Amino acid sequence: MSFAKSVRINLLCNLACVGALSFLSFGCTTMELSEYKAEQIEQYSNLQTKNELSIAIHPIVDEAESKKYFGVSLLDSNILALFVVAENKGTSSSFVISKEDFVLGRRNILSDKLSRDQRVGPEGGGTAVAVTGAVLISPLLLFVGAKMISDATVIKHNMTVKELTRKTISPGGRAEGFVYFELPKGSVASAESFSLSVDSMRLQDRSLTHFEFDVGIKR
Amino acid sequence: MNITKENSRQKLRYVGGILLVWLLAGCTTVYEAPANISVNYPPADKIPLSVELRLTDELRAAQWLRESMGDKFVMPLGVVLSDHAEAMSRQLFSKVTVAKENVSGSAPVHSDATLLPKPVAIERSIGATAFGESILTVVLEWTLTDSNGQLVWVDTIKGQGIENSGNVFTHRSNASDQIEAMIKDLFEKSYKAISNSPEIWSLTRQPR
Repeated sequence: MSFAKSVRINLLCNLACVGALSFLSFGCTTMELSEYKAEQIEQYSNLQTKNELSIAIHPIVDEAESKKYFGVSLLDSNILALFVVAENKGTSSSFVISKEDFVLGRRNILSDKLSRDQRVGPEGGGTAVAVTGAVLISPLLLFVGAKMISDATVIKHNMTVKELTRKTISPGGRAEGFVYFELPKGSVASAESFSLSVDSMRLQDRSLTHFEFDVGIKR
Repeated sequence: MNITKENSRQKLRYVGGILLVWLLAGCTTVYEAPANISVNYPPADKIPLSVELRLTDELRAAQWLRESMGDKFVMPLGVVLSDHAEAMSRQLFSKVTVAKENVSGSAPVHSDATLLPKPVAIERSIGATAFGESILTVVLEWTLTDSNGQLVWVDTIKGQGIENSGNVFTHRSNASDQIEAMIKDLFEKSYKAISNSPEIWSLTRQPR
Protein backbone atom coordinates (compact mmCIF):
# COMPACT_ATOMS: atom_id res chain seq x y z
CA MET A 1 0.00 0.00 0.00
CA SER A 2 1.35 3.39 -0.96
CA PHE A 3 1.93 6.09 1.65
CA ALA A 4 -0.69 8.42 0.05
CA LYS A 5 -3.33 5.66 0.11
CA SER A 6 -2.57 4.92 3.75
CA VAL A 7 -2.96 8.62 4.65
CA ARG A 8 -6.29 8.77 2.77
CA ILE A 9 -7.64 5.69 4.62
CA ASN A 10 -6.46 7.12 7.94
CA LEU A 11 -8.16 10.44 7.18
CA LEU A 12 -11.41 8.71 6.18
CA CYS A 13 -11.36 6.65 9.39
CA ASN A 14 -10.88 9.80 11.48
CA LEU A 15 -13.69 11.56 9.65
CA ALA A 16 -15.95 8.52 10.12
CA CYS A 17 -15.19 8.51 13.87
CA VAL A 18 -15.94 12.24 14.20
CA GLY A 19 -19.13 11.77 12.17
CA ALA A 20 -20.27 8.84 14.32
CA LEU A 21 -19.56 10.76 17.52
CA SER A 22 -21.47 13.79 16.24
CA PHE A 23 -24.36 11.55 15.23
CA LEU A 24 -24.44 9.87 18.62
CA SER A 25 -24.17 13.06 20.63
CA PHE A 26 -26.61 15.05 18.51
CA GLY A 27 -30.07 14.79 20.03
CA CYS A 28 -28.81 12.84 23.02
CA THR A 29 -28.27 15.74 25.34
CA THR A 30 -30.88 16.70 27.92
CA MET A 31 -33.01 19.62 26.78
CA GLU A 32 -32.06 22.90 28.44
CA LEU A 33 -34.50 25.79 28.64
CA SER A 34 -33.69 29.41 29.35
CA GLU A 35 -34.60 31.15 32.57
CA TYR A 36 -37.13 33.92 32.02
CA LYS A 37 -35.49 37.13 33.21
CA ALA A 38 -38.14 39.60 34.28
CA GLU A 39 -37.60 43.28 33.59
CA GLN A 40 -38.29 46.19 35.90
CA ILE A 41 -42.07 46.42 36.22
CA GLU A 42 -42.09 49.90 34.64
CA GLN A 43 -40.62 48.41 31.44
CA TYR A 44 -43.81 46.47 30.66
CA SER A 45 -46.30 48.23 28.40
CA ASN A 46 -49.31 46.44 29.91
CA LEU A 47 -49.02 47.81 33.46
CA GLN A 48 -51.62 49.03 35.95
CA THR A 49 -51.36 50.37 39.52
CA LYS A 50 -54.26 50.44 41.96
CA ASN A 51 -54.21 50.89 45.74
CA GLU A 52 -50.39 50.84 45.68
CA LEU A 53 -50.36 47.43 43.96
CA SER A 54 -48.81 47.31 40.48
CA ILE A 55 -49.47 44.40 38.12
CA ALA A 56 -47.89 43.99 34.68
CA ILE A 57 -48.58 41.23 32.18
CA HIS A 58 -46.74 39.93 29.12
CA PRO A 59 -48.43 37.24 26.97
CA ILE A 60 -46.03 34.87 25.20
CA VAL A 61 -47.34 34.91 21.64
CA ASP A 62 -44.04 34.92 19.76
CA GLU A 63 -43.14 31.39 18.63
CA ALA A 64 -39.40 31.89 19.11
CA GLU A 65 -39.92 33.25 22.62
CA SER A 66 -42.17 30.30 23.51
CA LYS A 67 -39.61 27.78 22.23
CA LYS A 68 -36.81 29.53 24.09
CA TYR A 69 -38.54 29.44 27.48
CA PHE A 70 -40.83 26.40 27.14
CA GLY A 71 -39.21 24.21 24.48
CA VAL A 72 -42.38 24.17 22.35
CA SER A 73 -44.78 26.60 20.74
CA LEU A 74 -47.49 26.59 23.40
CA LEU A 75 -50.00 28.50 21.27
CA ASP A 76 -49.88 25.64 18.72
CA SER A 77 -51.44 23.54 21.52
CA ASN A 78 -53.94 26.30 22.37
CA ILE A 79 -52.08 27.18 25.55
CA LEU A 80 -51.38 30.79 26.41
CA ALA A 81 -48.51 31.48 28.81
CA LEU A 82 -48.92 34.85 30.46
CA PHE A 83 -46.03 36.33 32.43
CA VAL A 84 -47.15 38.29 35.48
CA VAL A 85 -45.19 40.68 37.69
CA ALA A 86 -46.79 42.19 40.79
CA GLU A 87 -45.20 44.74 43.09
CA ASN A 88 -46.44 46.20 46.33
CA LYS A 89 -45.52 49.89 46.24
CA GLY A 90 -47.07 50.60 49.62
CA THR A 91 -45.56 50.74 53.09
CA SER A 92 -48.29 49.22 55.23
CA SER A 93 -50.61 46.93 53.25
CA SER A 94 -49.92 43.35 52.17
CA PHE A 95 -51.58 41.66 49.20
CA VAL A 96 -52.16 38.03 48.28
CA ILE A 97 -51.75 36.91 44.71
CA SER A 98 -52.28 33.50 43.15
CA LYS A 99 -52.97 32.00 39.72
CA GLU A 100 -56.56 31.32 40.80
CA ASP A 101 -57.14 35.11 40.89
CA PHE A 102 -56.70 35.34 37.11
CA VAL A 103 -59.67 34.83 34.77
CA LEU A 104 -59.44 35.16 31.01
CA GLY A 105 -62.68 35.92 29.22
CA ARG A 106 -63.76 36.83 25.73
CA ARG A 107 -63.63 40.57 25.10
CA ASN A 108 -66.75 42.77 25.18
CA ILE A 109 -68.24 40.62 27.90
CA LEU A 110 -67.86 42.00 31.39
CA SER A 111 -65.82 39.63 33.48
CA ASP A 112 -68.33 39.57 36.34
CA LYS A 113 -71.02 38.51 33.87
CA LEU A 114 -69.00 35.78 32.22
CA SER A 115 -70.79 32.49 32.14
CA ARG A 116 -68.81 29.38 32.94
CA ASP A 117 -68.24 28.39 29.31
CA GLN A 118 -67.09 31.89 28.41
CA ARG A 119 -64.42 31.90 31.07
CA VAL A 120 -61.00 30.45 30.47
CA GLY A 121 -59.59 29.43 33.81
CA PRO A 122 -55.90 29.18 34.56
CA GLU A 123 -54.52 25.74 33.99
CA GLY A 124 -51.89 24.05 36.11
CA GLY A 125 -48.74 22.76 34.45
CA GLY A 126 -50.24 19.30 34.44
CA THR A 127 -52.97 20.02 31.90
CA ALA A 128 -50.66 21.87 29.58
CA VAL A 129 -48.00 19.26 29.83
CA ALA A 130 -50.41 16.43 29.18
CA VAL A 131 -50.53 17.82 25.65
CA THR A 132 -46.83 18.14 25.11
CA GLY A 133 -45.96 15.01 27.04
CA ALA A 134 -48.28 12.68 25.17
CA VAL A 135 -45.52 10.55 23.71
CA LEU A 136 -46.24 6.99 22.65
CA ILE A 137 -43.28 4.71 22.53
CA SER A 138 -42.75 2.17 19.81
CA PRO A 139 -39.99 -0.41 20.48
CA LEU A 140 -38.47 0.49 17.12
CA LEU A 141 -38.21 4.11 18.22
CA LEU A 142 -36.86 3.32 21.65
CA PHE A 143 -33.65 5.27 21.19
CA VAL A 144 -35.43 8.35 19.91
CA GLY A 145 -38.20 7.70 22.42
CA ALA A 146 -35.86 7.94 25.40
CA LYS A 147 -34.95 11.44 24.30
CA MET A 148 -38.60 12.36 23.74
CA ILE A 149 -39.55 11.18 27.23
CA SER A 150 -36.69 13.21 28.68
CA ASP A 151 -37.80 16.30 26.73
CA ALA A 152 -41.40 15.86 27.89
CA THR A 153 -40.31 15.64 31.54
CA VAL A 154 -38.07 18.70 31.12
CA ILE A 155 -40.92 20.70 29.51
CA LYS A 156 -43.41 19.66 32.18
CA HIS A 157 -40.96 20.34 35.03
CA ASN A 158 -40.02 23.72 33.55
CA MET A 159 -43.66 24.83 33.30
CA THR A 160 -44.24 23.95 36.96
CA VAL A 161 -41.11 25.76 38.14
CA LYS A 162 -41.98 28.92 36.18
CA GLU A 163 -45.63 29.00 37.29
CA LEU A 164 -46.97 31.81 39.46
CA THR A 165 -47.74 30.46 42.92
CA ARG A 166 -49.84 31.76 45.80
CA LYS A 167 -47.97 34.22 47.93
CA THR A 168 -48.14 37.28 50.14
CA ILE A 169 -46.63 40.44 48.69
CA SER A 170 -45.38 42.38 51.70
CA PRO A 171 -44.72 46.15 51.49
CA GLY A 172 -41.94 46.65 48.94
CA GLY A 173 -42.23 42.99 47.90
CA ARG A 174 -42.64 41.43 44.47
CA ALA A 175 -44.10 38.27 42.95
CA GLU A 176 -43.66 36.95 39.43
CA GLY A 177 -44.37 33.88 37.35
CA PHE A 178 -46.39 32.44 34.49
CA VAL A 179 -50.10 31.70 34.45
CA TYR A 180 -51.23 29.19 31.80
CA PHE A 181 -54.60 29.30 30.07
CA GLU A 182 -56.12 26.71 27.80
CA LEU A 183 -57.68 28.74 24.97
CA PRO A 184 -60.87 27.83 23.11
CA LYS A 185 -60.23 25.99 19.84
CA GLY A 186 -59.85 28.29 16.84
CA SER A 187 -59.05 31.38 18.92
CA VAL A 188 -55.35 31.27 18.01
CA ALA A 189 -56.03 31.03 14.27
CA SER A 190 -58.51 33.91 14.42
CA ALA A 191 -56.13 35.97 16.63
CA GLU A 192 -58.93 36.60 19.09
CA SER A 193 -58.59 39.18 21.84
CA PHE A 194 -59.37 38.44 25.46
CA SER A 195 -60.00 40.32 28.64
CA LEU A 196 -57.99 39.35 31.70
CA SER A 197 -59.56 39.96 35.08
CA VAL A 198 -57.43 39.89 38.26
CA ASP A 199 -58.56 40.25 41.87
CA SER A 200 -55.96 40.57 44.57
CA MET A 201 -56.89 40.51 48.26
CA ARG A 202 -55.50 43.04 50.72
CA LEU A 203 -54.78 41.16 53.92
CA GLN A 204 -55.50 43.98 56.37
CA ASP A 205 -59.19 44.42 55.46
CA ARG A 206 -59.86 41.47 53.06
CA SER A 207 -60.83 43.96 50.34
CA LEU A 208 -60.28 43.05 46.68
CA THR A 209 -58.35 45.23 44.23
CA HIS A 210 -59.63 44.60 40.73
CA PHE A 211 -57.61 44.83 37.51
CA GLU A 212 -58.75 44.43 33.91
CA PHE A 213 -56.28 43.92 31.03
CA ASP A 214 -56.67 43.49 27.29
CA VAL A 215 -54.82 40.45 25.97
CA GLY A 216 -54.28 40.02 22.25
CA ILE A 217 -52.86 36.77 20.93
CA LYS A 218 -52.01 37.98 17.43
CA ARG A 219 -48.63 36.51 16.45
CA MET B 1 -36.95 -41.08 21.36
CA ASN B 2 -40.21 -39.34 20.50
CA ILE B 3 -41.10 -39.08 24.18
CA THR B 4 -37.74 -37.39 24.93
CA LYS B 5 -38.24 -34.92 22.06
CA GLU B 6 -41.75 -34.09 23.30
CA ASN B 7 -40.39 -33.56 26.85
CA SER B 8 -37.73 -31.19 25.54
CA ARG B 9 -40.33 -29.19 23.59
CA GLN B 10 -42.53 -29.00 26.66
CA LYS B 11 -39.62 -27.75 28.78
CA LEU B 12 -38.82 -25.17 26.11
CA ARG B 13 -42.45 -24.01 26.17
CA TYR B 14 -42.28 -23.62 29.98
CA VAL B 15 -39.02 -21.68 29.82
CA GLY B 16 -40.40 -19.53 26.98
CA GLY B 17 -43.55 -18.86 28.97
CA ILE B 18 -41.62 -17.86 32.09
CA LEU B 19 -39.35 -15.63 29.98
CA LEU B 20 -42.39 -13.98 28.38
CA VAL B 21 -44.02 -13.33 31.76
CA TRP B 22 -40.72 -11.92 33.09
CA LEU B 23 -40.39 -9.66 30.06
CA LEU B 24 -43.98 -8.40 30.16
CA ALA B 25 -44.38 -8.00 33.91
CA GLY B 26 -43.66 -4.44 35.06
CA CYS B 27 -41.21 -3.69 37.85
CA THR B 28 -41.59 -1.08 40.56
CA THR B 29 -38.55 0.91 41.58
CA VAL B 30 -38.80 2.81 44.86
CA TYR B 31 -36.43 5.70 45.48
CA GLU B 32 -36.09 6.09 49.25
CA ALA B 33 -35.15 9.27 51.08
CA PRO B 34 -31.96 9.05 53.18
CA ALA B 35 -32.57 8.32 56.87
CA ASN B 36 -30.98 11.41 58.44
CA ILE B 37 -31.12 14.66 56.51
CA SER B 38 -29.66 17.58 58.40
CA VAL B 39 -31.02 21.01 57.51
CA ASN B 40 -29.03 24.03 58.72
CA TYR B 41 -31.30 26.60 60.31
CA PRO B 42 -29.57 29.83 61.34
CA PRO B 43 -29.76 30.53 65.09
CA ALA B 44 -32.49 33.07 65.83
CA ASP B 45 -35.03 33.99 68.46
CA LYS B 46 -38.18 31.90 68.17
CA ILE B 47 -41.38 33.58 67.05
CA PRO B 48 -43.46 33.93 70.24
CA LEU B 49 -46.53 32.10 68.97
CA SER B 50 -48.25 28.90 69.94
CA VAL B 51 -48.82 27.15 66.62
CA GLU B 52 -50.77 24.10 65.58
CA LEU B 53 -49.01 22.39 62.69
CA ARG B 54 -51.44 20.44 60.53
CA LEU B 55 -49.96 17.51 58.70
CA THR B 56 -52.72 16.43 56.37
CA ASP B 57 -53.20 13.04 54.74
CA GLU B 58 -52.41 14.74 51.43
CA LEU B 59 -48.98 15.80 52.67
CA ARG B 60 -48.19 12.49 54.36
CA ALA B 61 -49.09 10.59 51.17
CA ALA B 62 -47.16 12.90 48.83
CA GLN B 63 -45.04 11.10 46.28
CA TRP B 64 -43.50 11.42 42.84
CA LEU B 65 -44.65 8.70 40.44
CA ARG B 66 -43.73 7.93 36.86
CA GLU B 67 -44.98 5.03 34.79
CA SER B 68 -43.08 4.01 31.70
CA MET B 69 -43.63 0.94 29.53
CA GLY B 70 -45.14 -1.07 32.40
CA ASP B 71 -42.49 -0.02 34.91
CA LYS B 72 -43.27 2.17 37.90
CA PHE B 73 -40.84 4.59 39.52
CA VAL B 74 -41.97 5.85 42.91
CA MET B 75 -40.42 8.40 45.24
CA PRO B 76 -42.40 8.46 48.51
CA LEU B 77 -41.85 11.92 50.03
CA GLY B 78 -44.74 12.31 52.47
CA VAL B 79 -42.92 11.08 55.59
CA VAL B 80 -39.74 13.08 55.01
CA LEU B 81 -41.76 16.23 54.20
CA SER B 82 -43.91 15.84 57.33
CA ASP B 83 -40.90 15.13 59.59
CA HIS B 84 -39.04 18.18 58.37
CA ALA B 85 -42.14 20.39 58.51
CA GLU B 86 -42.38 19.52 62.22
CA ALA B 87 -38.63 19.96 62.86
CA MET B 88 -38.62 23.34 61.11
CA SER B 89 -41.73 24.53 62.96
CA ARG B 90 -40.14 23.65 66.31
CA GLN B 91 -37.10 25.73 65.32
CA LEU B 92 -39.32 28.66 64.36
CA PHE B 93 -42.07 28.93 66.96
CA SER B 94 -42.04 28.98 70.76
CA LYS B 95 -44.70 26.25 71.01
CA VAL B 96 -45.82 23.70 68.43
CA THR B 97 -48.52 21.08 68.60
CA VAL B 98 -48.90 18.64 65.75
CA ALA B 99 -52.26 17.57 64.36
CA LYS B 100 -51.83 14.60 62.07
CA GLU B 101 -55.42 14.00 61.20
CA ASN B 102 -56.91 15.76 58.21
CA VAL B 103 -58.87 18.55 59.83
CA SER B 104 -58.43 21.39 57.36
CA GLY B 105 -61.13 24.05 57.53
CA SER B 106 -61.67 24.25 61.29
CA ALA B 107 -60.10 26.81 63.59
CA PRO B 108 -57.54 25.67 66.18
CA VAL B 109 -58.63 25.37 69.79
CA HIS B 110 -55.52 25.89 71.95
CA SER B 111 -53.16 27.83 69.71
CA ASP B 112 -52.55 31.37 68.45
CA ALA B 113 -52.29 30.22 64.86
CA THR B 114 -52.42 27.26 62.49
CA LEU B 115 -49.64 26.43 60.06
CA LEU B 116 -50.63 24.30 57.09
CA PRO B 117 -48.09 22.94 54.59
CA LYS B 118 -49.77 21.82 51.36
CA PRO B 119 -47.99 20.01 48.53
CA VAL B 120 -48.83 21.84 45.29
CA ALA B 121 -46.64 19.92 42.83
CA ILE B 122 -43.90 17.32 42.71
CA GLU B 123 -42.05 17.23 39.40
CA ARG B 124 -38.91 15.44 38.31
CA SER B 125 -37.19 15.83 34.96
CA ILE B 126 -35.21 12.91 33.53
CA GLY B 127 -31.92 13.25 31.70
CA ALA B 128 -31.66 11.97 28.13
CA THR B 129 -28.67 9.84 29.17
CA ALA B 130 -27.24 8.52 32.45
CA PHE B 131 -25.09 11.67 32.64
CA GLY B 132 -28.04 13.91 31.83
CA GLU B 133 -29.25 16.28 34.54
CA SER B 134 -32.35 15.33 36.49
CA ILE B 135 -34.11 17.96 38.61
CA LEU B 136 -36.53 17.13 41.42
CA THR B 137 -38.77 20.04 42.46
CA VAL B 138 -41.28 20.05 45.28
CA VAL B 139 -43.66 23.01 45.46
CA LEU B 140 -44.98 23.48 49.01
CA GLU B 141 -47.57 26.10 49.97
CA TRP B 142 -47.41 27.36 53.57
CA THR B 143 -50.51 29.02 55.02
CA LEU B 144 -50.71 30.62 58.46
CA THR B 145 -54.16 31.47 59.82
CA ASP B 146 -55.02 33.15 63.13
CA SER B 147 -57.17 31.69 65.91
CA ASN B 148 -60.30 32.86 64.05
CA GLY B 149 -59.27 31.01 60.90
CA GLN B 150 -58.42 34.27 59.07
CA LEU B 151 -55.50 34.23 56.65
CA VAL B 152 -52.42 35.94 58.09
CA TRP B 153 -49.77 34.94 55.58
CA VAL B 154 -49.25 32.55 52.66
CA ASP B 155 -46.20 31.71 50.58
CA THR B 156 -45.25 28.98 48.17
CA ILE B 157 -41.72 27.62 48.24
CA LYS B 158 -39.97 25.58 45.57
CA GLY B 159 -37.23 23.21 46.70
CA GLN B 160 -34.89 21.63 44.15
CA GLY B 161 -32.43 18.74 44.06
CA ILE B 162 -30.22 18.29 41.01
CA GLU B 163 -28.27 15.12 40.17
CA ASN B 164 -27.28 13.07 37.15
CA SER B 165 -30.04 10.63 36.16
CA GLY B 166 -27.61 7.77 36.75
CA ASN B 167 -27.16 4.37 35.18
CA VAL B 168 -28.48 0.99 36.31
CA PHE B 169 -25.97 0.95 39.20
CA THR B 170 -26.21 4.57 40.36
CA HIS B 171 -29.79 5.75 39.74
CA ARG B 172 -30.98 4.82 43.25
CA SER B 173 -28.16 6.54 45.13
CA ASN B 174 -28.39 9.58 42.83
CA ALA B 175 -32.13 9.84 43.51
CA SER B 176 -31.47 9.57 47.25
CA ASP B 177 -28.90 12.41 47.06
CA GLN B 178 -31.40 14.37 44.99
CA ILE B 179 -34.09 14.04 47.71
CA GLU B 180 -31.60 15.18 50.35
CA ALA B 181 -30.62 18.27 48.33
CA MET B 182 -34.30 19.08 47.66
CA ILE B 183 -35.27 18.79 51.37
CA LYS B 184 -32.41 21.07 52.44
CA ASP B 185 -33.28 23.66 49.80
CA LEU B 186 -37.03 23.50 50.50
CA PHE B 187 -36.83 23.86 54.27
CA GLU B 188 -34.01 26.42 54.36
CA LYS B 189 -36.08 28.61 52.01
CA SER B 190 -39.28 27.95 53.99
CA TYR B 191 -37.57 28.85 57.28
CA LYS B 192 -36.30 32.09 55.77
CA ALA B 193 -39.70 33.00 54.33
CA ILE B 194 -41.57 32.40 57.60
CA SER B 195 -39.01 34.04 59.87
CA ASN B 196 -38.83 37.16 57.64
CA SER B 197 -42.59 37.60 57.26
CA PRO B 198 -43.74 40.98 58.65
CA GLU B 199 -47.33 39.67 58.65
CA ILE B 200 -46.45 36.82 61.06
CA TRP B 201 -44.45 39.13 63.34
CA SER B 202 -47.38 41.54 63.28
CA LEU B 203 -49.59 38.76 64.66
CA THR B 204 -47.26 38.35 67.66
CA ARG B 205 -47.92 42.00 68.60
CA GLN B 206 -51.69 41.59 68.59
CA PRO B 207 -53.51 41.04 71.91
CA ARG B 208 -54.40 37.40 72.47
